[in-house]
Amino acid sequence: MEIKQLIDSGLMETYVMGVATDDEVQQVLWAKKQFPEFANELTKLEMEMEMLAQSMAVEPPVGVLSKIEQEVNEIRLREQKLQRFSENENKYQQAEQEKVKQDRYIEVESESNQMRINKAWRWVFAAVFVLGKIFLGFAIYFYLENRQAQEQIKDLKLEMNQIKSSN
Amino acid sequence: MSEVLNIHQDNLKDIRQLYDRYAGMLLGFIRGTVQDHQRSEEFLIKIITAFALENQGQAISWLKIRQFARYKLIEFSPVNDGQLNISDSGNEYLNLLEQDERTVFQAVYYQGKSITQLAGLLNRNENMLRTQLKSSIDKIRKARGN
Repeated sequence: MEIKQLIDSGLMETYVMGVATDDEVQQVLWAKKQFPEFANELTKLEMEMEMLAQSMAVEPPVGVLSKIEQEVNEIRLREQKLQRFSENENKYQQAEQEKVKQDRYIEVESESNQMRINKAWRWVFAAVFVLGKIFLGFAIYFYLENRQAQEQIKDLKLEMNQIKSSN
Repeated sequence: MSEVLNIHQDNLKDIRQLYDRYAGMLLGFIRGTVQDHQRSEEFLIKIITAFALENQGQAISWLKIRQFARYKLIEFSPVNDGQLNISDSGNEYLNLLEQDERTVFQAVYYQGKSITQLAGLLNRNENMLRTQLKSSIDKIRKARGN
């Protein structure tokens, strides 16, 4: 469709009157992007509609502005109260959840006599145990050897004394 | 004990600017739609309040605020889609239009009737109604010197 045809089609008018269908709105937005002349005409038409509305304007009675300000104030105040209430509600819920958590779980930091260590230490303890047994074996062996040697020395000393006395 | 209102001074300024620029135009639009002076003023207060709260810090145009008012008016007083309620506007520009053009313009502008709805109500061709709407706007523009 040529730009002139598009402008004359009445599409812009239905758009500015706010009764264009979704397809028509898409068409207008596309044409506005695509054709500067169309965009220019649309801006002019929008301004014209505003001027027309101005010519049909009716002066509002005194006191309307203060009623609007009062209404806005009241709504804002209600919103603030609601916000504060929901913040307090959230805090209360969080505190409740914390309490439930605390009730559900047992305190881990207990007074137990046991301690936790890494599993790798068991090989060290096993090695110490085995070496301990070996050293104990050696100790018993050398103790018996030593006692036997002492007895032999005693016997030898006795024999030497007997030889000396017989001479 | 009275409560402290936490409304920011800038917001009050925005509301006053919005009011100064659009309140008269909006009241004219609402009266054309509702055709009841008392209710029109009540709706004006509700619409500007809602618009000020919902559109803080956003760009405002007449088309945007008029469209907002149209949706709010449907919410406040649902219109009967099956009938046309056209009255004499007394506006100098609308009085320049032919009867048919004025009907089409007012049905679309004040009552928000789509071309398809209007074609059904008036038993007329959609293209013809589009042409009438365009010609009525062109006539008003011409009368305004554009």
